[in-house]
Amino acid sequence: MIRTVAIQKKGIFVDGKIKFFPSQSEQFLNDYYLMLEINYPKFYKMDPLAKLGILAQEAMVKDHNPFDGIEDDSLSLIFSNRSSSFDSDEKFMYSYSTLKSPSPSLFVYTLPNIMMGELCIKNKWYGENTFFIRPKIDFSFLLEQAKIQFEKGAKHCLCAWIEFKNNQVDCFMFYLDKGKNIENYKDFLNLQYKLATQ
Amino acid sequence: MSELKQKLKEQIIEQLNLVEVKPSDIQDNQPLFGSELGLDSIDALEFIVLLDSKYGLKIDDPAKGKEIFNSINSLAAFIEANQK
Amino acid sequence: MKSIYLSTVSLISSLGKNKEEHHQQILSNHSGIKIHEGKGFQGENLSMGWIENLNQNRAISLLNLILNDLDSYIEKSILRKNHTRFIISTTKAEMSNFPNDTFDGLIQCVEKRYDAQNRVYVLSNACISGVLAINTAADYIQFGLCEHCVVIGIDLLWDFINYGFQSLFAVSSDICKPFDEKRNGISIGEAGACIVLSNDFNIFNSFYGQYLSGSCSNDANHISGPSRTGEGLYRSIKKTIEKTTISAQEVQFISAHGTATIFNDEMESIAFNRAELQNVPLNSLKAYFGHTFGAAGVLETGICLLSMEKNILYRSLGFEKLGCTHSINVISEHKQSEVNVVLKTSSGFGGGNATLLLKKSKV
Repeated sequence: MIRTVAIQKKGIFVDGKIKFFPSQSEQFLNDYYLMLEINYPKFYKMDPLAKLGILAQEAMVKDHNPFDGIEDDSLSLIFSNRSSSFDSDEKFMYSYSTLKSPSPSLFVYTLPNIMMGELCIKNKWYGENTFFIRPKIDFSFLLEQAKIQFEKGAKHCLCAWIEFKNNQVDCFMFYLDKGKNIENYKDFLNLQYKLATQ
Repeated sequence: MSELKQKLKEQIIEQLNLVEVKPSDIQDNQPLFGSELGLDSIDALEFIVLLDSKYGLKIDDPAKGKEIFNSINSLAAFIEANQK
Repeated sequence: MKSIYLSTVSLISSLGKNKEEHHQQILSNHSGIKIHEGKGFQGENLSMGWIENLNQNRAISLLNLILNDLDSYIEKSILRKNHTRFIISTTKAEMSNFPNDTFDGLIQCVEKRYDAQNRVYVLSNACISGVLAINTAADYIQFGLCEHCVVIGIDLLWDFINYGFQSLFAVSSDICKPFDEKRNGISIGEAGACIVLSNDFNIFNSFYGQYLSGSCSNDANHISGPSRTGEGLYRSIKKTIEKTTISAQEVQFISAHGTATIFNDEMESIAFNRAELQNVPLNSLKAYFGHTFGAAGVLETGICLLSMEKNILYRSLGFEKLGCTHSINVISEHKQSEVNVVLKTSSGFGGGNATLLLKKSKV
């Protein structure tokens, strides 16, 4: 089974179909939270990367939940982006250089892997997590990493490209069960990504 | 004092991003930690930032913060007693 | 399963510029952590493991020192070929470049030097990055994606990191004291380190060990607070050991993470007990050069290989009396001893825990 979610300028796409349209507000991530009827108040404290991770995963499970009943350490997370935790880095710098009070709650989000941690906490997943910085979204790379995880014993993979910089969002997440020739999904994933971005 | 308490509630909601919480939801004597507000150790450190930036009060040891941050009442009492 | 070997190419920290200097400094119980004036948020003094004499662009300067070591250790023809990959393990190495891309400079530096377009990977997973990068390198070799993999750990100190850890009240006032009852926080540090993994030990011209297995596991508990039960670390250790024919009783030494915060070291003591490793001699190296974040796992695995090479268990500097609820065997004096099977552990923000197992290669 393969599932995809894209959160892009045009809205939230689930398995290639648009499901939610963005609000025009600067708080569009919070508006998505309400649209998806998520009940997890901690969401509001998260940085945009972690919010996107939660939103994408929640959008994925809305109609059919692929994570239902999986063993708690059988899912590997492989996430990537270009700009690391740019938004939180910028805000944390502002807190110490301009506001003159370095904010601990901003600082803890100045690492890109934190979003995987938030997903693990929310879902009680104890599996492997790996975060890579890449020049651009690269399905060959993510599928190669997923293949390694399957060879090593994982039964499911959740892969993502989640970039947030200057209030611009570029988020694509896919779920994959262990299977043969997963590299063949590359064209399918490219198409799904194109659908959401063009 | 009640003005200070009201202001504190608003500042806490803003500083800690408690988007769904209204000032009237926080009782003056309600424990701020270990209650439905869901605050954790990082929030406790944000209280230290808040006291410093808004009230000019410094706390050097987070352990000392524990009693001060117990409730809105204790926070307000601390500010009243220490602010010049 | 293929046999995978690994050898240390470069170790640069506040303690020394190479393997031998690290060995000598550790034996002399020296620490590279010093008070640096005015480095704290409001101009306070801050104790840290700072590398002196780097050029203006400190990250690129440090990376070039590492690559010079690499050039003098591994044949350039190997590094330039497609069957060699590079993994850079870092959290915030080149943040001085912010808001421009903060990883491009490092990547390009390696790409240009070895004509390595599309062969350089950046892994950034907080404090477990280094161990995770070595595990990933071993996977690449195991599953035939490359024959050799160069792992470079690099992270540098600057205001951002200093003020961040100060805002968490996590910085020790003096040199940190891992696992000690008087510990009160981390010492921050910086480092550059390089380890090469290969399926062919003939590419190494000095000591190498054998990589056995590795894994990671998330605590699923808190993004910045260690698990109270050591769940993720326990699970990762268990998985790593179970992948091999080695039993927990055969582990002769643990190079722990040991950051010297109250909660981290307590968590580790619980996890080691759950894994029935409480009697295995263990150290944390953090008091020698500080917590070097994205470089830590590579630097400290490099020191594990030194332990194997020299047959010595290095003492856990800063430790006097155990300050954890669960008993563990912290090394309090340098000890000559056969070191054949080593477990390296790391834990970090985001709830990650990564571990790996090494053994001495029979020559």
